[in-house]
Amino acid sequence: MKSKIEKYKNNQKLDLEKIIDEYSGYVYSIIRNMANKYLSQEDIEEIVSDTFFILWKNADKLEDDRILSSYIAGITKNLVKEKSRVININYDISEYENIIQDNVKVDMICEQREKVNVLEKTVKQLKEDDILIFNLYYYSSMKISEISKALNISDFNVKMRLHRIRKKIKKEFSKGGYSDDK
Amino acid sequence: MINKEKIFENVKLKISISNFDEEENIEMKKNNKTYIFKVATVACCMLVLTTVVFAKDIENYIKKIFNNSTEGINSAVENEYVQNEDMEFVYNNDIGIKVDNLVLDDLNLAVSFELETKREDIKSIWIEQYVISNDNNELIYEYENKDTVKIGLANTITRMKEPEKVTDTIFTDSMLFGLRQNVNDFNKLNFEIKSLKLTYNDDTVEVLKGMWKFDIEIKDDMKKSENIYYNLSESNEYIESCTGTLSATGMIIEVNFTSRINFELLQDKRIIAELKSGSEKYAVSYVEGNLNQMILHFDNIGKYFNIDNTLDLYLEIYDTTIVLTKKDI
Repeated sequence: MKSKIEKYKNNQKLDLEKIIDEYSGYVYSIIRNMANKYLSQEDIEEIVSDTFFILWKNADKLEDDRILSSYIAGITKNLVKEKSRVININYDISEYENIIQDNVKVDMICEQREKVNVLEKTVKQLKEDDILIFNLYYYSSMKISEISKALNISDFNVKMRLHRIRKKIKKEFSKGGYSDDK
Repeated sequence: MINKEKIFENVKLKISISNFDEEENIEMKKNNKTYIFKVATVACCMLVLTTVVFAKDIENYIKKIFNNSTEGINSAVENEYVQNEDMEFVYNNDIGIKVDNLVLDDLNLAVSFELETKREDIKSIWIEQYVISNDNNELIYEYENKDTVKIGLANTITRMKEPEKVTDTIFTDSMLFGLRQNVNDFNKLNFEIKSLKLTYNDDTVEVLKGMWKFDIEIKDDMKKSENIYYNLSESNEYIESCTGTLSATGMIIEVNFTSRINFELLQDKRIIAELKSGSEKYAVSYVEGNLNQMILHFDNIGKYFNIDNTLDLYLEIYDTTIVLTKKDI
């Protein structure tokens, strides 16, 4: 696991699928070694997902000639630390101290992560096909016409569905005790 | 066991939500606690256009939708001029029907339906016989068969494509009605569906008679289309008067000529009428005419388009262009 960042970039974008495929096990290992007994499976899965999410969010800060695993270890360590503060446990990171890159600012997007986590609960309640369209638009950055062609549905229908998804997310978000006051 | 696919899906979703949040700039206040996150536009996370497509997702997702729409309606929907319905399915003969979405303004009514059934081997379901009316007891449209059609407030209907199968149990159908001018406001649409045409995978067809009856309340948003009006700004030897109405979903222009029109002359005409706004041109979608009046319908335009205050209307019958100016309210 000594591959450089540049190996995982495709047209300046991170190849997230490849990174997850090669490093999921690595992230799990770090978490288990640090705080296995104290974290539930759900907490562990959340840290794993958040690790890759934060990596993606900070993609522009990653130096191409650095080793990817060091960034991943740094993010994971900080997330376990954060979760541990909540659960109030001690952890052992000595094994990772030599390899950790700590210049990925987990704290900077902690607030954003909290909101994402709140919104995630709402989005996961959507129908499967709505989640697909949501991801194609907001993750794959596909245009309406591209989604329409790819899924063999009309532009009109794609727009209707996106409109409904946005409305539902905001409605459920405010029902959950949060308000969308701009 | 590590489920990498699940991790990837979760991460994709988080990224989608993050991008959605940046776009919508949702401010979060939890209960009474001041816990406000203003999401700054993070320049480094600007969306980069890409055509990366995850084949797995699309292979697993088979969805076809019946498309009866126009550019005017599309722009209305894009600008959130659309009513979403959360009604339950109305069942009869083990098939459920409900209205999914509708768009209504002074010029058009577009309705999309969702149909549900556990019957097997169905290729498509077509709403065949139906009556649509409103709470003023006015008929919108009634279809019995191709020889028995009753036209009410809607004088055109578009149902050009076959309805489509979304999943093994869900189907969609839609209808687009062009409305007459000066329709009184109404608060409800009443639907009575009397038969469905079921086509099975082996292409056998079954006409299923039944009664699916339901009402849809028209929400306030759909009643306030806030049209934009245009008037003739310069005199023209052929034109007595001309007014235009630009609504959310289209435009209608009423032209009154100084003399009777020979409509037969229009039969071979290529354009008939064309509207010009800046450098954009819009051909007329359809024309109604009588004696010395022509009513021009444009479905490829709407008030959410970038329309100038001054429009040129070319009329091929006299090879003349007239100028319309936006009316100040």
